[in-house]
Amino acid sequence: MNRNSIKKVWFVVLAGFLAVPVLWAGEASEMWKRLYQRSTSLEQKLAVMQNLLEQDDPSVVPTLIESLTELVVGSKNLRSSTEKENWTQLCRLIIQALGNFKATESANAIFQCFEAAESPILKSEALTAMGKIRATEYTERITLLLRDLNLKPEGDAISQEIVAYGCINALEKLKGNQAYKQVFLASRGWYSKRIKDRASAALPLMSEDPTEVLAELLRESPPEMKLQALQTGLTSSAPQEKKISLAVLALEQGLLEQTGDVRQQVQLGSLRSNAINALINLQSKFPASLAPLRKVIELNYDVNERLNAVIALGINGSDEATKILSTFLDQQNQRQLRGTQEADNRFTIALIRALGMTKNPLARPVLQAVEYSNYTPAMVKISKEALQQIEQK
Amino acid sequence: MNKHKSWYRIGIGLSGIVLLLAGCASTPSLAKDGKQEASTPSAASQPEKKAKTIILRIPRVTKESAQFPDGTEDEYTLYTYSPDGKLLLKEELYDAASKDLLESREYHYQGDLVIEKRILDGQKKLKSRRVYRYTSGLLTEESQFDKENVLQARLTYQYDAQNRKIEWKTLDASGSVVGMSKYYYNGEKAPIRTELYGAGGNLELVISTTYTEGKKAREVFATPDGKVEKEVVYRYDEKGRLLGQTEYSSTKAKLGSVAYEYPADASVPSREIRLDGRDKPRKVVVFEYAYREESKVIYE
Repeated sequence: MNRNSIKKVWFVVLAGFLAVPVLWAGEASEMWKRLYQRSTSLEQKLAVMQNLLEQDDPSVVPTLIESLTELVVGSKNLRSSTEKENWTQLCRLIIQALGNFKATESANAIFQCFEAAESPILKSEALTAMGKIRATEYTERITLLLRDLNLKPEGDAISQEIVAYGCINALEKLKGNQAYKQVFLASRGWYSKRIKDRASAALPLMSEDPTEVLAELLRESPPEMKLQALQTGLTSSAPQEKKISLAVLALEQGLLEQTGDVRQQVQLGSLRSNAINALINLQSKFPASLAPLRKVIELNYDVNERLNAVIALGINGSDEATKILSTFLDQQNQRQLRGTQEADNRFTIALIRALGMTKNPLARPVLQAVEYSNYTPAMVKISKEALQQIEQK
Repeated sequence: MNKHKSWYRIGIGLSGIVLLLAGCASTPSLAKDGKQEASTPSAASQPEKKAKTIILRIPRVTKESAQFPDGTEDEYTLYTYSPDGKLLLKEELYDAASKDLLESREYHYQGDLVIEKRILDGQKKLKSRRVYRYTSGLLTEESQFDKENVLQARLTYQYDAQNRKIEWKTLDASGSVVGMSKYYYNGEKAPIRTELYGAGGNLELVISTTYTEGKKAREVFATPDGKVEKEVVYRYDEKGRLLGQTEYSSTKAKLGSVAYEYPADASVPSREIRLDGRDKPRKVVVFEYAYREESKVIYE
């Protein structure tokens, strides 16, 4: 088009014609339905069913349920491997379609097919469809099935994985706290990476606020899983206060358990560090976090952990937090006066800065005492800066 | 992904029929265009008519998202077209949560006509394929093959002198007719009566279709002796856009319905809502489109 010739642009809506989106060809569905009913062999039925389903006509749902029920009833009469293969393919086709149509009324027929099926792929397909139709009445049964699989029962591991995959697909859509717990455990379970990744991907979609279940897992799981429960909760869409509560619980759990196992010690340390970082990032002012943070400072498992606990108390800024920090700085001041100087003064600096961060007047006396505690001029300068922060409040 | 939607989308690409027209009033200099003079009376012979260049905005579906009524995405289909946007080349169906490819369809063309459709599974293994034959641009035969390339069925179509489909036969692999439909017209381009026959040539079902202002308004499915099995009613808005279709049982009980939603200035739907017999939404399909532009000279 010669663009230079354009003087103005106008829009016209043409009514009709392609405005008609998708009109199901009723006669095609009817024809294929009739052909299916007349088909005698599974091979014929399979070919016809593909055509019927291509119509994407929701009115075929009753026919599909009826067909699936008949197939389940006839499953005992399958003889050759070809018959079994065609039966499986046909069931899969119907189940997929029922799932796509979101045909809730097909739940019983699909579950019966699941129970009748030998093929793990068909079982998995049936479970997936149960999620697609949101068959919530089956949530508990599928949850229990996944629980059993998570425990790795005897049997063919590959088949178990395929069925577990279907359970995860279903539970992702059926949701519920117990379902969430089992999918979480599957994400850390014995399965191959593909299944575990699938479970991890399902978790955020299953619950916006899974902190209640994760708290349960934090209390009852081994250290490695505690950390994963915390991380899952922190990346969820749960409200901030719920995430903070979870972080406090994680910190308490990290302090509660003591072990001689070095690997577990590392995991517990990581749990504490992650929990403290979460309290910092979430700007926690929860009173419940004060006691475990104080304990972290006292136990002094790790210097970075300890320094972060000091920062977390500074962010908290409450009178109680200020008193805890003041107590520790007062101890440092006394040591300094006694001449018990520490090679590493990072802890003292962190305390001074955290007290400044509180902007709480209760911090004044101990900060003022720094000047008279025989510290270096640099340390005195830091304490004065902290005092200024309080004055600026 | 389904047959009708596919053909519908291919139709969008091929037909060049448009819903939104963006037009441009031209200057007289456009009359210098030799093509216009060749195809239409010249501006000199019809001085009262002004040439205008209009821009046709032709939509094509690029993504179709199947969702639960609460908006959670279940599956989605991505559509790939030829570089000029005219031919649908590929449909790929994905699981929304895992992003796993579930199924794909590939279309092969001769000119603008689809000659083969290949249906592949999630591992890109052939599931089945369809081969299409045409006579004078009209689809006359479709052969269906399974994954082993064994012929499963043949569908044949016949047309009248006005290129209207008058017969559809389904034949099994051995060539025996297993079903047949006959279409009857009454001046309309679409059939008013469709008869479905069984393998023995016995009439099994009659579908009577009525139209209002050229649009399908009602379909009645009845046995040959006139007993109604079901009825489908279609409704449109003032712009002629299909708003929905409702299916009723023989006892007039509502079996299910579909509603379409459109942006104010578009003639292609943005959403399709499928409802059950109690008007409870079951599934929502959200469409995304891309547009290609074609210019055309018109006189007014």
